[in-house]
Amino acid sequence: MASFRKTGSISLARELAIDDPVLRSHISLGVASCPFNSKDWDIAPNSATALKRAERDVAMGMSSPTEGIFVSGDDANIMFVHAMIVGSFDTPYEGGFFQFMVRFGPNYPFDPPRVCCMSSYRYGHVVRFNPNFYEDGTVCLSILGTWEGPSWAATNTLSSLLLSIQSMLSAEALCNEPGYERLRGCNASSVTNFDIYARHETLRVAVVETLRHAEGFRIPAQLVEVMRNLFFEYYDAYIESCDQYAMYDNKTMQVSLLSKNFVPNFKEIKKNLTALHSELQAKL
Amino acid sequence: MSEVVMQSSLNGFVSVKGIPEEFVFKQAPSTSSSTHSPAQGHLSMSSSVLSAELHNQKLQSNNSISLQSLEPLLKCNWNSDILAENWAFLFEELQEIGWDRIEELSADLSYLTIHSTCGQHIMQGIIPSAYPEAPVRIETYLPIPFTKLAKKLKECVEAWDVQLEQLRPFFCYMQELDNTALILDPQTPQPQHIHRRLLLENQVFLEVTVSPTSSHSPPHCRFIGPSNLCAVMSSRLSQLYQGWDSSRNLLENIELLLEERVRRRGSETLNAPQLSSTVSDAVECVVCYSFHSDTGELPDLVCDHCLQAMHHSCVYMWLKGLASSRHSMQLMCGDCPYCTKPISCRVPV
Repeated sequence: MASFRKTGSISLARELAIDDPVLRSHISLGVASCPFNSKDWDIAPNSATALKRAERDVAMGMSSPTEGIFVSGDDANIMFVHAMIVGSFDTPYEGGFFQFMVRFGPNYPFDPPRVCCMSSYRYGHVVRFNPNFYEDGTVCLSILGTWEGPSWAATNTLSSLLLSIQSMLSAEALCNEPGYERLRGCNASSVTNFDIYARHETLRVAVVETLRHAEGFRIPAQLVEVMRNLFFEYYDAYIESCDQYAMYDNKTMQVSLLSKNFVPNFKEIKKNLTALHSELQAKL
Repeated sequence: MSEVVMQSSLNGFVSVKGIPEEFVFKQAPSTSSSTHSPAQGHLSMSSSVLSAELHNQKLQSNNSISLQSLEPLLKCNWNSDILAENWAFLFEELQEIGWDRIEELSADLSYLTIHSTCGQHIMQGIIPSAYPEAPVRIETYLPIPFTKLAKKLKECVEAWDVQLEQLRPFFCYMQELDNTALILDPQTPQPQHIHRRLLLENQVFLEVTVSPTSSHSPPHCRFIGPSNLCAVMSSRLSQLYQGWDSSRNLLENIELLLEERVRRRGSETLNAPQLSSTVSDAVECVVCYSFHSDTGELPDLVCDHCLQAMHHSCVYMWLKGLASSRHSMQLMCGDCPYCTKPISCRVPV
């Protein structure tokens, strides 16, 4: 990324901030880790180190890509980055396209960036994908200062951050929640149920809804293109997944951490996947 | 606003270094409404053209340059603080030095640049408004201090020439080094720099300081890197000083006596962004991920545990923000940002 060009209009990140549905609640609750509710960062001037480091991180992220991690610098502001993480295989999140907004502060890299998981609430549905991804977009990760554990180090980069987030999208996701750790490997019903929920919602929201309305949700064009290409690659795996899990259809489940009961409908998702496939194929 | 076209009729008087023979001198319009403010001239004038004209003038007026002869020549007032009657004095001095040595003379007569006979060195003179009562202030770019206060500019230039000749072995020596080895600092070596930072193949930096007056003697050496490797290198210093052979060049001596190869220059020019592609990634500071910090520092601080290189200022900024850091005198101690093991850095003044 040699330079960023001023588009004349405000940056995409700013646009997204303006009509963020949970911004008001973040402001009223004083949530400090939201990239959109960052008045303290808005007014402070960016230090030379922060700007240099931000540019470098984005350039490194775009030039040496990791499997499943995609980065697109904001069109007008170097401190905002649109990131996309594709769920790894052998996890309930496989093939899902999870969108994040990462913002670097004026004291980067001495302060951690602020991250928002856009997929949790902005793409038409509010989903608790993971114990560590709250419905308001907060990402609970120790290096972001939003969870217990090793804190942010100045030597961490955008790539290492996104890698850490990707590792949270793992099988037996519920075991990340305090109190459920001992259930790892025990094949507990609460854990398997959460995984089924995660898989279902990944396909429904993080694949179908995200792709269907990508332009409306204003996901950066480069990321949309990557998504479309990967969709065709993973299509068969998505269908196979739906077939495999169709046995849970229409059975009410109680899923930990959710306030309402959950009724899976993998058949419906399969229908939508096929429709989306023909839709995208027609666009080619 | 008048336009004067000057023609240089050289007659073998002065050598022209690719300067066009016709020079158009434009008088910029006066920005102030006052009729008393002097007009501005062009930024700098090719001195060989000026010298040619003055030569012509001299021939016409029996070897003397008068002020009156200058004014119609230029058809404007030079915007200078120097009293008008002293201009001729200045030009006389410059004539003595030789117009071929004058690289540049500013239009407001406040500074001039003189180059050496070999063309590789320059000397700058700042002409004060009280000239010629106040002497011209000389600025030279030499590795040793040079002060020559003489009434005549010519004497200063002559002394400079002598000095340059004495320093010639030093300049050749450094040039040879700069042409072969990869030089990490200074980024663009100037004649006045006596230190060079080299990279050894075992990833330790070697900073050599060469004496300008005895360039072929063993230089002062300083090693920068992980302490265990530096200790190994330092133990070889005694054999370096004993075995130094002034008939061999610097690189040969170093490689032979320290038993390590020095990284050579690549074919690309040495500016910072490309530098990180020639030097291994392990050499960038792991906090700001660049080689030169904002203040021009190099990643001198190497953690003894994780062996990562960092800038002192970057580590200081990091430790400053940690509650667990301790500060005593000139040192700040705390957890390494890379491996969290103990590290200490200098506190910037």
